[in-house]
Amino acid sequence: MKNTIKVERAILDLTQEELAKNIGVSRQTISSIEKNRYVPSTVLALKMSKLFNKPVNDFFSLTTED
Amino acid sequence: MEINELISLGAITIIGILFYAIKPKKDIRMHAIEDKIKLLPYWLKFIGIGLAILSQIVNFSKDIWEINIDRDYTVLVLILGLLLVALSSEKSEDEMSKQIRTNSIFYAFFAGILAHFALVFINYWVGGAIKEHSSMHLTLWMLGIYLGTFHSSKKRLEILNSIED
Repeated sequence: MKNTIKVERAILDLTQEELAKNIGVSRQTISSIEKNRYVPSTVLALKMSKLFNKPVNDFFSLTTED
Repeated sequence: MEINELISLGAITIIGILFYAIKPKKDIRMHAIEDKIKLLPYWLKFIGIGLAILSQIVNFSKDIWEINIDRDYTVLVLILGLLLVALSSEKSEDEMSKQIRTNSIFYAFFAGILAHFALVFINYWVGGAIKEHSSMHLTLWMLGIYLGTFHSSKKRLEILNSIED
């Protein structure tokens, strides 16, 4: 699974720390998600969706490996 | 009552309280897996580290200070300290750290089983010489694998993420 969290974060001018604080996780978790080292839970994805005001599919997508 | 008996009684009581505190409520509606992992407060980690260090100080200096205490009890306090460290939450506990915890428990569990088999075979070769304290060593080994895997995985992620940032 790949994502464009970094782009969405840049659009809202948010740092990793600010995004982490907004959705109640650590900065390391945001960093790991951006680098595709951790796949977040549906709850976390929906929290991001609410913050970015976009559907989850807009910033998370499946790759051929999935 | 001797000091050894008092320490063992205290340790068993604390373990009992801890188990009661972390035991999930038997409510059929509470079936979310994530909710079942209830951890102790962050500050208890420091008490755990303190207990572990204290047990080793007592263990190494009991001959100098002439403290009449069995080595088994210092190991028991060490296990209790490490258990507190293992069960207390991180400063920023979230779903990723819970995932790393789950992975670490998986490795610790199977490392424990493998070590148990190894102990049985080694014991057979050395004629039962290490049989006496194997359960305590096995507990220490499993706690060590759990804590080692958990903290090294977190650190590795931190380093890898910072390199790419």
